[in-house]
Amino acid sequence: MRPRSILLAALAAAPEMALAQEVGTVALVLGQRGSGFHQAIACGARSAADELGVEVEIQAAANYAATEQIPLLNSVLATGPAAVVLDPTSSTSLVAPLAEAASQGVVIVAVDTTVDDPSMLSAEIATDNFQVGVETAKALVGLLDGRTGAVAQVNSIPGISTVDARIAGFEDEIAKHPELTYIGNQFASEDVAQAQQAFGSLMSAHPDLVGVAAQSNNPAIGIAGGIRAAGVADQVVAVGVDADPPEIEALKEGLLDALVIQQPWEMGHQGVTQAVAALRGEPVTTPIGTGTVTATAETIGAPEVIRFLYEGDCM
Amino acid sequence: MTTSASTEGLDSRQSRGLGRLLLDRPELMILVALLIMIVVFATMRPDAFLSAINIRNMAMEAGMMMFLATGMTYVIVTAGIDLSVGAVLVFSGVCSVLVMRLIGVDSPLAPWIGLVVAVLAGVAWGALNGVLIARANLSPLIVTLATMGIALGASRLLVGGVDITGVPSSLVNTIGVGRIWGIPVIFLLSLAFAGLMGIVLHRTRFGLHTFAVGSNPQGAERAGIDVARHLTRIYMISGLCAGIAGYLTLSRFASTTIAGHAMDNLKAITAVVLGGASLFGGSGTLVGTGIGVLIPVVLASGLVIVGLPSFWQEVAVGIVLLAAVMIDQWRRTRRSR
Repeated sequence: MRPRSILLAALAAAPEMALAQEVGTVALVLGQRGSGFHQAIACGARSAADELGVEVEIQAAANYAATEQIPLLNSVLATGPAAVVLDPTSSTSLVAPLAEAASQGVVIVAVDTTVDDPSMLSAEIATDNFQVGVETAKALVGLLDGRTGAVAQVNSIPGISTVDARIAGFEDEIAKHPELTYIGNQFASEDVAQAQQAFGSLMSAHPDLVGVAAQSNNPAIGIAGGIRAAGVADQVVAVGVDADPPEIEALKEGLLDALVIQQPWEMGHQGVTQAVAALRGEPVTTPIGTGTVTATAETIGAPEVIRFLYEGDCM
Repeated sequence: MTTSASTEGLDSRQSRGLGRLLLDRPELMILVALLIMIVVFATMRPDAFLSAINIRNMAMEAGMMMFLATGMTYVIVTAGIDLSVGAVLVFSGVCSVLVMRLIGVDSPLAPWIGLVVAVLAGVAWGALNGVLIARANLSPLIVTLATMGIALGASRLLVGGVDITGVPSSLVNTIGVGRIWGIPVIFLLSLAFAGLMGIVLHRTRFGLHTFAVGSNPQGAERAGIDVARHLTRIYMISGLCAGIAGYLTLSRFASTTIAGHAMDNLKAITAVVLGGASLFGGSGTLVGTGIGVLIPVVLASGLVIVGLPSFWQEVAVGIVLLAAVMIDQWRRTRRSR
């Protein structure tokens, strides 16, 4: 152990340029620009690249869609990166382009989600999404503190594996609490206004609604708006996932009561770290589960939470 | 007289000046712009921009967009617009996958039946658009805006909002990722298709009628053209193009891509306008549209390769588009003098 760490230290002390040439460039191809979550991945990746003395090139698609990410990925591959770190926007569509890149010797690391055929991936780094759902249910149950009534979910789009797993996790956990009647899930697309409307309909159909959860940012912002419009902030406990600035705002206003926060910064950091390890022929850790942290209005300003917020300007 | 592309050769015989040539053939100016972009990117990063992977990538992107832009060229020549193409593309793809799954993805007939389904679905939406626009005299903008919403919503209803897989692997391997002499099959198909549609537009009576309907519908009517029937057919062509594009999209992504085509309509319109067609109808060429398709594609990959943030791509395409429209306007005022 000892001689090896000395060797590593010597390696770290070597001039940065030499190291950069040694492993080549790491490209980060993100699924969406202008999203705090992806900014945090980018910041984590930059930080890891600085620590390891490698160059990182960051590109992001305009919209979260495979039809945009794949051409972008191909353009990036044309520049000849040694490794590509990406958050796959589709588990099927990205298989063929990634397999081709891997066949040319490019190291591929998937963060946030994965693909159907992960054989070409050197590492997979993601949140355990079932656990995210469980955590939202736990936060909801904890905040309800024994109250009885109906609980519901408002979510974006069916068929996104991450969201589906979270919904399942929530349902699994909430079933353990017979005092709460689960009245189901409403899909409201990624549109904030639609989620707000969905919450309004739920509230009028179920006046005994005491809790609502959203497993991603846009529906969470929507239900916050719905709660404000209906004036039921005191009656309804709302839990969201992620920590975009509007969600944090809603948490501080008391519209949302808890946020289950993923760790995108950690995903970017681990993504680049494992890619570089693979390039250097060092042992690679995979799969890596990046955990969650649950924040309330009281804890959101605490230093142990603040570093997980989705912010940054690293693209 | 309104000059259509097919009669432009007559005008340029009279004056040989370069300015006059560019005035008459707007697609030449955009071709120069395209060449400048290629030279700039190729000089900055020759290794990457001219690499096989990048050229294939650009060919693939341009090939996919060419199908929608071909249909859009016909529509814009008649002074119409078709906002529904991206949604019809999605709808055709969804129907095609559902039917192919029904008959079994391993059946050798599945890809062919899937193609027929995609084409029929596309043509059906086009026919609906055409009838509403030509017979009910509704604005193309509103009609296709409405059918865009209906087609996209119907697609989501059919599959419960989820992108579905089940595209036959034979289809993905021969067409989607297939290559002949290193050239993507989709690009070759688009060349053949655009070539055929170019001949129809510029060398046949049907094409001539299309320009006539676009330049002056009343005049065309008086000249004995059944304008309503012709317009309906034009929107059916646009639907056909979207149907084929939907099928090819399946082969490329091995799944439906419901959320990935929201901007396809505007991208196709951009390509056609960049290619020198006028939104007022009566002018446009398929060669121009081909060049117009390439500009955003070259910008998109070139800007990534030289390492500029991807935000610049929209800015650059927007500026080029504005320039193209201003040139079109300048051309019209010069002509009318």
